Amino acid sequence: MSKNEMTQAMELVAPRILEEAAFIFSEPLDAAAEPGDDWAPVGVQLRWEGPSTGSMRVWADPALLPVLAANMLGIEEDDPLCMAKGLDAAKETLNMIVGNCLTEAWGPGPVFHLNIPETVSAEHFASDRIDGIWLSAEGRSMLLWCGA
Amino acid sequence: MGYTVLVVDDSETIRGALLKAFKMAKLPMEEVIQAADGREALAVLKDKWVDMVLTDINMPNMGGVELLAAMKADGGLKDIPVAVVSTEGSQTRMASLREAGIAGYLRKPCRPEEIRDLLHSVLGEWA
Repeated sequence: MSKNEMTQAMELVAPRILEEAAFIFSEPLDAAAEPGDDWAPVGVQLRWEGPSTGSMRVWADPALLPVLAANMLGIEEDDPLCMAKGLDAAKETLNMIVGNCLTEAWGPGPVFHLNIPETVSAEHFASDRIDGIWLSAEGRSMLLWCGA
Repeated sequence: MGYTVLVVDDSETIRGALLKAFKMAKLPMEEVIQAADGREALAVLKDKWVDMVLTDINMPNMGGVELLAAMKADGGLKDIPVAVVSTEGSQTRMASLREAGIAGYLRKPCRPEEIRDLLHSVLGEWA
């Protein structure tokens, strides 16, 4: 599997997972609308091993995290619980995207070991944005990246 | 009266989403107990009878596969049905889990109807 195949799977799978898991509708973000260098996203990462080894990262506008949590938990966005659970919701959304992308890219045969999702240092963002995929999710920016 | 279910997942969000799904599916729940990993689940099961365990696979400390093995090796726990709720979609993995004795498998994200159908198929419909 090439990086390109996994990226294609990510483009296909991520919007579906956002919609099914969190009722969040997304679309590709126009290049002109991509956030500038002052954007301060929250990043989460998940690594996997198996027939291929790699990792996927999601960089999301911090304002999107409580929306994810609210929709997954079925509570109001202004509930304090949403602020507390936003990062966990982002990690689990990434977990679902990776699990479903691996099946999309490799088919249902191979077994992969998925690690525990973790927060990722902002230093990776500058390189990820070069070949990542931008989405607009509920009007907020999100960058998805996968690689070795 | 209703089902008593132990939900095992390291994500509080997923445990909360499953609680939401039980309500949306209008399942009669007597009690939903939560554990963050296999170790916590085994500690719960020492003191508490449950009708069924729903567990994730990848968790820190003790994952779902190890939890299943520990329960099957324990005479007091081996007959409690265990279903896996995971992001993993490998049929090879599912086949090995079935061989190990799981009662069902749901892939995340799962809909409330799928959870209802799983509980009905394993535990029967609550009369």
